[in-house]
Order: sequence, then structure tokens, then C-alpha cells
Amino acid sequence: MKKLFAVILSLAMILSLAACGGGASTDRSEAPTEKPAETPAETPDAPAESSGDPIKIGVYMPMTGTNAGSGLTEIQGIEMAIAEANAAGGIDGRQLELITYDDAGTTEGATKAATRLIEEDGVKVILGSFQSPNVLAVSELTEKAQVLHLGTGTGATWTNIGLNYTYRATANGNLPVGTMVEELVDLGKKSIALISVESDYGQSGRSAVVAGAEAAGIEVKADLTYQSADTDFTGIIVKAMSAGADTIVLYGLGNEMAMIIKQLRQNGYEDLIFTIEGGANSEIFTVAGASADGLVFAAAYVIPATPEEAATPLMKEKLTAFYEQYGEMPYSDTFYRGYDQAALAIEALKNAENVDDGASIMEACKALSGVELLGGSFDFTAGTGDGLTATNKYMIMDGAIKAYDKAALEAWEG
Amino acid sequence: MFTFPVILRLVIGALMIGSVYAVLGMGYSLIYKATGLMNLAMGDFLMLGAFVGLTFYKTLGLNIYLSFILTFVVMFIVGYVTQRYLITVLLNKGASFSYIILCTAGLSMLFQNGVQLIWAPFTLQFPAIFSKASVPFLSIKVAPENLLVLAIATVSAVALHFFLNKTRFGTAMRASALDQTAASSVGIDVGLTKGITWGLSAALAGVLGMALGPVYGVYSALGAMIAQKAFAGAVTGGYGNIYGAVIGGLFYGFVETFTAAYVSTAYKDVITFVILIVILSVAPNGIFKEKVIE
Repeated sequence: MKKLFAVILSLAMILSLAACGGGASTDRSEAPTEKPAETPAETPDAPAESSGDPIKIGVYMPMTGTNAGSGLTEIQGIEMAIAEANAAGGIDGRQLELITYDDAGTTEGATKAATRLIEEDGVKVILGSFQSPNVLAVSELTEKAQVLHLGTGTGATWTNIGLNYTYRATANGNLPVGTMVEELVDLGKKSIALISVESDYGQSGRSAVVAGAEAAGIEVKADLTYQSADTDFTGIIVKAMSAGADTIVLYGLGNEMAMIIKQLRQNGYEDLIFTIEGGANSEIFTVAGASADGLVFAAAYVIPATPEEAATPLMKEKLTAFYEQYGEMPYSDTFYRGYDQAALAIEALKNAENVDDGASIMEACKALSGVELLGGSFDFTAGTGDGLTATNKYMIMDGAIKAYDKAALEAWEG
Repeated sequence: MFTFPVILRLVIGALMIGSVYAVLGMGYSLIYKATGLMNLAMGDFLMLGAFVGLTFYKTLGLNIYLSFILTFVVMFIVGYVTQRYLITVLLNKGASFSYIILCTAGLSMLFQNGVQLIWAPFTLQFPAIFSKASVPFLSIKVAPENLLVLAIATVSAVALHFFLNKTRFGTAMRASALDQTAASSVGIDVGLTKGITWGLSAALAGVLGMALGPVYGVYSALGAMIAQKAFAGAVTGGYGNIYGAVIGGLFYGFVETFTAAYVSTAYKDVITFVILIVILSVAPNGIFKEKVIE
């Protein structure tokens, strides 16, 4: 009987690990592969001859669980940037080698992965996930080990706190909040009902929204929170709709925010809804569908329907390459984040006096300025850990993400 | 906040989510009553049903009625096979009940990771079943999908009641649950009835999961929190009593919805599970005073 039981559990574990395999070429939680990222077939230049040991770059990312889609997409962005660098000859003739571990979206998983990357694999740079609590947890390890750590979470809590080795390769969540408040003012909203997720990300964003709204003279008539595992939001929605506010502001990510939008419409809410970068997540369309029309948001970047509709030439180039490689558009904007974090790491390694010395790599990253990437122009010289200072305005209309258009939104509101 | 439209909206929301807990809770209770076992993969049956239904309705383009029927059949087979060729085999080899519970926990992992491997590790869109996002109902608007879930749950509960009480097979199932030896001695195939019990539980959960697809999207963790609340409902009603599961599920639907609206949105789950602990402390056999199987 014990043998049979062991077989069943083993089968469960095998499937758990096998499930990680959907999309990325490097992994995994128990048996990491260590190899230079593959060069895309369309890359015109053949990989240059490498000399010396490869430079190891570690990655921790959710590759299983509810955030796996965004995690695997971020890895695709990382792989693209690394493949480009390797095709161009690497760093001083040394190829870049990715070692990727699944953190399963948990803080515990992230710290375990980072510990292994630092102590066993000896990586020079760690590329962290888009989950701010995990980035914050790992930052303690990277500060101690003097390993450059580039995260892509937007929670405001892990920059501006005196960390030397941790940098953000996307927009600080407070940045889109300011832009979203501008949108609220522009559309004449005098009061809001705020719904935010009960997490580090959500609550730091909630504080920023409340502060930004009050500074702009907008009254917060309801301040509600939900748990990320929730599925039914009737109570919160009824409370928000009954608050007598001009509009509803959401601060969350992924599936649950899409469910709130859908359930708002199903409960008869027909006005505009405001949010930040979560509005760019593909789940807004897959779950909320047509209910997403009338969503106004601020974000560093969005995934358009086709590469041709990209906001900038660089985005168009990378989205085209992605489409040619995978035959579809990226699942989420974490593709941009992944590409940017790897590209920033590569820039830091290129500029470092000694690529085998963590302090030297960190100093090179800290000195980066005017690095034009998908998220905008990065400048880390302020020493706060944040590199972006501007973000963009968008809306969803007729089932597609479009540039913010006040006249169109006012017409939609009727 | 205390106007008729607000309360009506809350009541409909509570009925919808409460009926989901109720149907899943009936599955827990059916299995426990018929086999004395606890199945920790009930939420995953619901989730798997959503993926299977999505495949029939969206991928294969079948009509919605046929998709529901085929989902019921497939999930029935999943539940039946699980009982006959996994649970029974383990029991025949002398596995204790705690091993079986652990096995269903492993099964839960298997299902969750399996759907990520077979379908996708991210949320998939289940196309809207109805053309309108909301329809007028008295003085408010409600989602037709919510009404569908409510209707499926109601029909499931009523059908199960008649199946258990008015059919020969239902009587055989109840007889097997009461005394397996006596049931066998009068010619009842106890093994078959157990398998069908698991099949029915999985099928009901699966059909409900498919109905929830357009509301929540389809993803591997779809059944996780729902299963916890449904379990709480089943325990509160009296674990093993399907009517208790219905009452318990509806009770937690109302507690959760009205707590979020009138008390605290942040602590609605805490309040739900505190109530469960209190009920377990003062009435461990639940509302219907169901005897716990040792």
C-alpha cells in the first residue's frame, strides 16, 4: 500500500513540475537548467565566439500558480534580451547564462530561489519577479551578498528605502497613480469610491490614491478592500455603488480585478471605472470582455492587439520579434518588464569595471542614465532605486486599448 | 445602504454564491455519507468541470446545452474512476482514512497542475452564454449568468433530493451508507453505489464550475476558496447531511455578502471562519445534528 501511495504522490509531484514547462525555455524549481538563452531564428547576426566562463544571471519568477501566466511572459522578455546580447557577442566575449527558478508566487519560494542562486549558482545579477513582496524579501539577501537585483513589481515599498543593490525596472506604482488622478480631474470627477486589494501592492497603492485624490480636491467617499483569492464581490460592489461617488477607482491586478469589473457591470454600474497598470492585463479582456469598455487607466505600457499598433518603434520591433517567435502577442505587459530588466542588467554589466564583482556591477547600474527602453528613459542616478519618471494614459473602448481621449470618454458616459 | 434595491442586490448576490457553496457542500456530504471519506479535491472537480466545459463550448464549438450534458458525463466518469480505481484500490490495500484524505489532497495538486499543463497556467476566457451583461429584475439589474448558476444549483438540489428518496438506486445508495453489510446481503452492489456517489458529486461540481466560467474566468485555482467556504457550509449544516449542506452553504453566502456590505470588506472571510469555529465548538454535529462517522 505504501508503494502505491508513494507512486501517487510522485505522480502528483511530477505533474507539478511538468506544469512549469509551458512557455519558458529555462527553469525550474528542483532541477535548474543552465544554458545560454536560445538565439531567435530571425536574429540576423550569428552568435559571436565566446571566450571565458559565461556570466550567470539568475531569475526567480512565478511559473506555477495563479500568477504563472505573467511570470512565464516576463521570462520570455528576459530571454529575448539575453538572446540579443549573446548574439551580439555577449559581454567582453563572455556569453550570458540564465538560471531560472520557480518561486510559485510566494515570498518563501522567492527567498529560497534567491538563496540558491547566490550560494550555489554564484550568479552576478538576479532578475526578480513582478511581485513586490517577493522583491522586498529578496532584497535583504542581495544587499548582504552584494548582488545586483532588478525587480519589476510596482509596489512603492521597496524603493526609496536606502537599498543599494535593488533597482526597479518598471514604473513605481505611485507614478501611474498621479497620472490617473490627472485623468479624474480632467473628466471632472469630484468624488471616488476606492476598491483596493488587501496586499502590500494594493495598500501602498491605496495610500497613494487617497493622498493624490485629496491633494487634487477629490473626496474619497468609500475606501474598500478585498482579498486576492475572492471570487464574489457583491458586497463590496453594492457598498461602492451606494457610496454616492462620481466614479469607482480600482487598485488591483490580474484576474480578481477583471472579475470586479465584470461584476460591477453585471450589477448595473454603467459609468467609467479608473485604475492603473492592471488595466493593461490581458485578463481584463479574457474575463471582463465587453464589460471592460469604459475603463480608464494609466500605465507605463500596454499590449496592443497587433505589433503594428504598438505605441513606440522599439515596442513595435520587440512585439514583432515576439510574434514571429511565438505566433501570438505576449500574455501580459510583464513581457516589457522582463525585457527591460534584462536589458538594464546587460547595460550595467557592459559598463561595470569588473563583471565578476558585485559592487562594481551595482555602481555601474546606479550610474545608468538615458537608457531608452520599452518603459521609457531609465535614469538611476538619483539613487532611489527608481528609474522612470513618466507614464502614459489609456482607455478601453470598443473592446480595445486606446490612447486616452477625453471627448470619446465623455461621449461614452453620455 | 438600507434601501430596497441595495438589499435586493445583496440578497441575489448572496443566493448566487451561497448556492454555489451549497452544491459543492452537497458533494462533500454525499461522499462522506456514502463512504465515510473526506474528499479534499471537491473544489478541483468544480475547476476541472470549468475547463472541460470550456473545451466543449469554446474549443469544439458545441451548443451550450450539449456542453453542459457532456461536462456532466465527463465529470461523472472522473469521479467514478477516482473512487473505483484509486480510492477503492487504496482501501483494499488497507489504507487508513487519513491516507485517503492525503490522497485526495494529492489528487487536488494533480488536477491543478494537470490543467495548467493541458490547458494553460493562466486565466482562460469562457465566452458569455448570454448576449447581455445584465437584465432588469424588479428595480435592479442582475447578471443572467448569476441567475443561471442559481437555477442550476436549485435544480441540482431538487433533483438530488428526488434521486435519493424516490428512485431504487437512491434507496440503494442510502442503504449502503447506513449499513454496507446489510446492503450487500440484500443484493446491493455497494462498490457500484459508492462509485456512482463520487461520480454524482464530481458531475454536480463540474456542471457548476462550467456555469461559473463566464462569471469568474477559468483558471486552476478557481475552486480553491469556493471549496473552503463550501466545506464550512457542509460542516455547519451537519457533515454528511445534504440538506444541511444546502442550508450551511446559503448561510455562508449571506454571511459573506452582508458582512462585506455592512461590516467589513477586509474581514469578511475572517468572520466567516470564526463563525465556523464557534459553531464547531458549540454544535459539532451541525445544524442538522448529523452523527460524525468515526
